[in-house]
Amino acid sequence: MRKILALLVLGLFVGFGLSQEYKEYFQGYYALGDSLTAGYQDGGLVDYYQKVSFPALLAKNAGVENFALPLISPPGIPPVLQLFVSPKGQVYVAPISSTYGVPENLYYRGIYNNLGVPGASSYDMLGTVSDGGFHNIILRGMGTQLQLGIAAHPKLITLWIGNNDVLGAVLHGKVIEGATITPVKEFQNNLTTIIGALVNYTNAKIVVINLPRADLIPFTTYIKPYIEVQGQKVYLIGPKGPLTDEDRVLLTAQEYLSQGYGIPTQLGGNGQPLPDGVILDAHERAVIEARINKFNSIISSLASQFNLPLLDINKLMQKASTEGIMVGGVRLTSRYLTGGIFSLDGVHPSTLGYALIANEVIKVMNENFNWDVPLIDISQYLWSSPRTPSGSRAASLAVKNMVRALTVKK
Amino acid sequence: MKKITLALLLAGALMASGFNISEHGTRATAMGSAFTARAADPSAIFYNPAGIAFLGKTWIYLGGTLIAPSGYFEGENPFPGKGVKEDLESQYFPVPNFYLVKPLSEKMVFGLGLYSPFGLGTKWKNPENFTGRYISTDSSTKMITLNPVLAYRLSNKLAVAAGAQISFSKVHVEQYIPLYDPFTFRVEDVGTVSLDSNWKTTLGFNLGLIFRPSSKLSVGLTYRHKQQADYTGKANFSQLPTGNMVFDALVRSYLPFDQDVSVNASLTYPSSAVFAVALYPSERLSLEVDLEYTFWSQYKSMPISFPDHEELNPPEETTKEYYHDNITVRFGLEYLLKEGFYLRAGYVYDQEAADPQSVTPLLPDTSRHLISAGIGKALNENMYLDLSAIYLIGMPRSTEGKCKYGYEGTYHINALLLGVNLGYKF
Repeated sequence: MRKILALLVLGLFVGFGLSQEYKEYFQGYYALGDSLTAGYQDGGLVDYYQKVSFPALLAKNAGVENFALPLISPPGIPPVLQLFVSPKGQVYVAPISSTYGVPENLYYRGIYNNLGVPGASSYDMLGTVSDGGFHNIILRGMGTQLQLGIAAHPKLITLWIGNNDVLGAVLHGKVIEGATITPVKEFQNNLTTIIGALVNYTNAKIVVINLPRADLIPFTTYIKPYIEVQGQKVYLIGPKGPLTDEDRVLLTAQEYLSQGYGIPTQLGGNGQPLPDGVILDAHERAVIEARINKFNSIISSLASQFNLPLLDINKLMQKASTEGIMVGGVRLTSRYLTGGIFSLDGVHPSTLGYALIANEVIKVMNENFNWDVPLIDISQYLWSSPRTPSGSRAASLAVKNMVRALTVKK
Repeated sequence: MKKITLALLLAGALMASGFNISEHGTRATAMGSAFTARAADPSAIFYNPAGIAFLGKTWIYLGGTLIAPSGYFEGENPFPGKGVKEDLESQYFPVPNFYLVKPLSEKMVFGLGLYSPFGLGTKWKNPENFTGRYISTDSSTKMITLNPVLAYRLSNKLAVAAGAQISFSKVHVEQYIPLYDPFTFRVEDVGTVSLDSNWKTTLGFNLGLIFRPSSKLSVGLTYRHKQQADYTGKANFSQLPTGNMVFDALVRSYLPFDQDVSVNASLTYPSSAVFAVALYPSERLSLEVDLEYTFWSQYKSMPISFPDHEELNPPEETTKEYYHDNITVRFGLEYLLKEGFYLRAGYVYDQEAADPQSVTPLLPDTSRHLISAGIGKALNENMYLDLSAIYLIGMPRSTEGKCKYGYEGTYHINALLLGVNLGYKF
């Protein structure tokens, strides 16, 4: 009897040990990456959003209490965007304030668990200590992101880097090799060095995340290249003449469109072309898509070379931009404003988007590390937000003049 | 631009095994509906029309079953989350049946049946807070089938039959409409939609065969053909104000509120086949085993469209259904306790037909055990009464994290079925 009891107790203990093993690893979890790792949302980095960055969601879910974040006070750096309604009833997106937030956790003794630096490219992770901006706030002069990631003696790492190696080309509507887009060879070298160093100089379990198609974000899809007049498409005017269905008009075109640029005179525009920097033409799109695919194949082959689990987040985000992702019968999509997955900047995910990403990370960890991490309850992010809408009409009017207006088009 | 998220699926409701009613005669249902080989009363018109070839007299059988499902749902992460519990609203579904058997000649017998092969619904309590409200808060279906049959006795051992199944069906679904609100950074309930199809007539057929090689043995086969229903109907959208006039105006530009919106939908009621063997060990006792195979894989999708509002059509991926053929095993026995008084009992194992993807608040399909009992009592020379009671125990059914609507958890469904029928032999 006693033997049986002992065996039972042992069984319970062992069972407990196995199912809770992940918690131990999460105690030493460090997240490396860029704005998507940092939890950048609505055009800024701010504490209430940093606390729902995907690494913070993962840590909280695993019961980690002291997951250190480079918190920034509201209204954020830069101040986060909000939807405003003009006195004429026009809806536009603008920063919530003209003042900036400040770092709240600058004197944290140690290395932040979330080391994601907004704007960081694969080169920055290897080589940038200080840039007078986010690097200074997050790395605090102690070393590069990679150096800090190694020095922290991590037990668990998520690595999601490379988005900024192509995003510049999308945001600026221009493919400039070595400036807005990283050459393949350089990316290959950077990623090989980063992954090789993490494998060789840490004992951490590492999950590698690939790159979502930056050319499919709402920033590129929201404004159509045409205006529909009585069922007929009248194409906007680009630098090379009328646009085609294959061209993409960037969200930044709104300020030009509101002044009449790009709109034919018969439709009330000034007939002048939109600048090149707010258009992604078919050729640029093809180059960007090919580059992302190439980068992803580099990431994928490095992951398998070093035997690291790979999260194909590109697959999830492509699903979001086609059939959508179902949550309780709600079809969340990549549509700007009301799709639910992207935030007001049209580039970075919403809280819901980050929570979906966090659950995908959990699935990959469970599958590859034989863990039993519970998935995160999405309902709390579906029906409530960590951000309280200010809704202040006065604030909206105050900043109205310095912002670009975005009309919600039907 | 004007596309809104509608998960809605008109009338998938009626399709689950759980909405497929097999109780169409109280004598049979008291024996777990294991009746295809014996088929020894007018409900044979449903269970195996060849059975009426052996009845030999004009016979009326009339009654119904009262079905009272109950149950609840326990949520899982990621949605609606652990700790969420949702209850089914108590509902009572009366399912009537009527049968007439009339011999036309010594070998040819005519039968006419009227029964309701589908006719249940799923209604959730507190619909405005029900976490599955964007999928369905209330769904129901009604189907009435008129089934004239002709049976022919080839010999004292063998009979065959064929019949036409003329079905009249309609469906109803209600749900809430969600939309992500970029002002509040969360999903709001922006409206409700109620869909009602028109009555639709569909045609099918049933076939039956009974072979009785000896007085101790009977073998039955029956087949019911699939029916394809292409519904037309109306959808009614009502707006729920969120308190933000700008957002509400945006919602109004997306959805056709307060008008009758045409809607089309189609679905397939699957074929089924039954193979049954009955034994008669003594004059007082009969036993039967039935194997029913239902071709649920014929139910592949539930296309729905709004011909005047194509922007509302759900994407094709979400109308896909994930069903597999299933087998139901039925055991039943009948014992003549004394002259004019029968005891009956049965057991059924009904295997689930839906893959986890298609286990939803609209149709929480599950494997089930049914335990049945009943009596039959002669009231006078011509008239008799059958009573039955069935308890249905649904196996807890998990969506295994695969529900196509992203609504994860475990359904617990039970039901009580009470039946009564009067028989009159001329």
